[in-house]
Amino acid sequence: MKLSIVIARSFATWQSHSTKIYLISFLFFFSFFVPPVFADAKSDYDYQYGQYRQNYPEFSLLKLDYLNTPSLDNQQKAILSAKQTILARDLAKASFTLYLTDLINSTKTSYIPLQPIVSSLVTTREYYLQEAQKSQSIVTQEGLSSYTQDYLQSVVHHDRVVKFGVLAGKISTLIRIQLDLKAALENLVTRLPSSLPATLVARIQELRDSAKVVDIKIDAMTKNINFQEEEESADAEIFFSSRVEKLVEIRTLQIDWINRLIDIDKNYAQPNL
Amino acid sequence: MLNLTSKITNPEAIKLLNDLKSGVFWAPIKAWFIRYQWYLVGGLVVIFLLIALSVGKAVFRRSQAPVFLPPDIGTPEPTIQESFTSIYEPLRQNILNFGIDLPDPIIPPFDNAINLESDNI
Repeated sequence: MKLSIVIARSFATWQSHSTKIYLISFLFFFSFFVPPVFADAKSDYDYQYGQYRQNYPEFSLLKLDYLNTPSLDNQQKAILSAKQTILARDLAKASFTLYLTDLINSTKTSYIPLQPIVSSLVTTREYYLQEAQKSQSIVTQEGLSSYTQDYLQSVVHHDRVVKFGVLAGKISTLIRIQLDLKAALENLVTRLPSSLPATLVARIQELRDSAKVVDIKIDAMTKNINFQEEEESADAEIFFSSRVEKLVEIRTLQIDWINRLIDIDKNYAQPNL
Repeated sequence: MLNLTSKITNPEAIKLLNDLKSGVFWAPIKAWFIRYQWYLVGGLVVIFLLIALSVGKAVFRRSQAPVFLPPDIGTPEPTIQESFTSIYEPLRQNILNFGIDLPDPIIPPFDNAINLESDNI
């Protein structure tokens, strides 16, 4: 308020040369203290999850107080804390979903088999935001119980979508690498001399064939996810662990591929070596 | 032949000559030598040892084995080896940095059953 008055007075006496100097100096001085804001999906998620981690222990303590001493005051405190915790929880979930969507979109792959998961992530985020808003209308303990009962039934699908989203993020990254590898090979071919020895031609063909093998493995892994048909598979304990082996295999093949590409680059595309 | 006694008339000189002849003149000197003979012998021995040391040192210096040094071959210069870094190396690093752990990012644990019922805590 005081700041606005100072600014208003400064404008009123704008004709004064010294006022101009003071105002410009003031703005210049405080421009150094304005924190830079680089908010993105990850930082938003970190903030919201931090809020949840802060609120949840408080809610647990207030709930314990209420259960030990069931007074109206304790009940209201616990309900208010529960509302804050639910809000933080669903906003954190929504931010996490947005973070996953950003991760997938940042790869710029547009892999069609993953599109249903990406679309579901968007829907899931909207669901979490709606639930966060809905939770703020809770007034009584019965209202909280009813809300949680409905939430437990409806959230199952969306929590599963998040698990599929994590897998989709990994697969998108693998596809991005694969696309970059192919582009690198085409780039290398343009840098090679016009007349290639037969052994080099064979090596390049081997690289093309190996790339196709990796493509098939990624494709098979994606189809194996069965997002639409077997959504319940996300609840299995081996949902993630069973896919780690495939990731390792594909990454090993990609490392071997790029090593062979670099070897050709070193021996054939570098005239000075 | 020169006869000193016939020409010297100074009684003190005559007395001195008589003392020399009779050996009385040498008696205090002999007594002094006899009295300090071991000091003199000791001093001579020390002087002899010092002379022997200096002589030995001089002989040792002359008889030292010559030192043969290798010829100066100059300062060795490191061989400059051009390291090859492919333009595709960042791509390789991307693959190496690809995390194979799942879930990645980790899905945080949330309590979906937030209520005031006693069975939850």
